[in-house]
This record gives sequence, structure tokens and C-alpha cells, in this order.
Amino acid sequence: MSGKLSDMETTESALRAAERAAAAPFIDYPATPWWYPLLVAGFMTAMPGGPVLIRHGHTFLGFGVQALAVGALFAFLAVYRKKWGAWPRMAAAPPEIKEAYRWYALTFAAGIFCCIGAWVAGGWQLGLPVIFVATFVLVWVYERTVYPRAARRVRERLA
Amino acid sequence: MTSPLTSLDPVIHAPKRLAAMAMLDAAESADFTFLREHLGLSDSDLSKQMSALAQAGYVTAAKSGRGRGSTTTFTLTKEGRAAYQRHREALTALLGAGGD
Repeated sequence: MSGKLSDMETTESALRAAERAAAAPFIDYPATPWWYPLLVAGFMTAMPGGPVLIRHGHTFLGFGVQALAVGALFAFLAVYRKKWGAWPRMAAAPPEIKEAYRWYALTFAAGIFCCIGAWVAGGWQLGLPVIFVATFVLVWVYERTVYPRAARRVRERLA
Repeated sequence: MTSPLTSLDPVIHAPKRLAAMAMLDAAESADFTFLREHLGLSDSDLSKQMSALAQAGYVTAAKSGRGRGSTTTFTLTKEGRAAYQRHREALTALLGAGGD
């Protein structure tokens, strides 16, 4: 009887250890630098901003801005990934982290509608600043509040 | 009815390898330093555990860079992911059977 109980405890602790290990790539991550939201906002603004510049005759500048934005974002992601040491698989995220992903996706979708509305109402003069500010706020809130809170909840559950 | 015991994978059953497999299952890839720090193993012990998993065809290792700056990155293979899921299900089933 006590042998069976001990086996159960071993199995349970093995499963718990596996769950803790599986959570590690999600809850132990290097904090993004303070300028990361600015980088993403710049990238998201440069994508529609480039064609605006090209349409106004600034072809070189338009392509240059886009190339710079893409290069900067990819360079950052490459360095960040190396620093992290592991790249989480979204499908394997703990429920608390999946909730944070859902929040990001829904807020991002809502943000796109706001930006389209601003562009339709005020042209690129209003659309581009709205894209920049909306992206900055979304990424800042996600990186500084939503994701860390979700990671903390996972840590508490598995403690 | 098949006993969950027969579904337990002896390669994955060792606690250190089970934790490594769980970590790799949750990640696209993980490097040597990440695994070593989170599993709390020495370099040689981790190398030994990862070699056993690689020999079973459950992980692949890719080395990048040279000298002190080189990094070894591990990725779970398709077979490894399936084996880990089977093993996990067997452990869960054992727990359920024990509670009856």
C-alpha cells in the first residue's frame, strides 16, 4: 500500500517537474529594452509610411525607411532570441500565457480597425500618427503589464 | 486493455531527460546554456543526457559559431515530440489508475 502511494507520489512529482520545465521558456525571459515598443511602433508606421513617401516622389527615402525598419526589427529579434536561449512554441503555452496572447491578438485587431478609421477620416496625416501611437501603447502595455502578469500567475501556480 | 506501464518510455523516464523533453516540447528550440541553467545540471551531465536523447532520435543538435562563442541548439524531432506526448499520457493514466 505504502509502495503504491510512493509510486503515485513519484509519478505526480515527475509530472509536476515536467510541467515546471515546460513553463520555463515562457516565464523565464529577458525583459525587452525600454525602446522596444518604439521599435515596433516605428516598424508598423514605416510599412504604410513607405508607400506614402514613394507616392510623393521620395522613392529612395520610402524604400529606405521600410528597409531600415525591417532590418532593425529582424536584427533585434535575432539578438533577443540568442539572449533568451529558447524560443517558446505558442501552441504549448500555459493557459495563463495563452490568455495574454488572446488579449494581444484581440487588441491588435481592434487597433487595426481604429487605424483604418483614422486613415479614412484624416488621410495619412492622421493615419500614420495613430498607427504609431496605437502600436506603441499596445506593445508597451503587453510587454510591461499583460505578459509579466501572466508569467507571474504561472510561477505562482507551479510554485 | 493495455497497461499504461507498457507505454512508458525508458529513455524519457529518467527525471533529467523527462524535464529536458518537457522544456524542448514547449520551445521551438533551446540552447545548451538555457537547458543547463534551468535543469540545474553540469555541462558533462547535460551532454550525457542530451546524447542519450539524440541517440534515440528524439532531439537534434545544431552547433553555430566557433570557439568560446559557439552555441549548441537542441530541437525536438517529430518522433521525440510524439514519444514525449505518449510518455506524458502514460504517466497521467498511471496517476488516474492509482487513484481508483
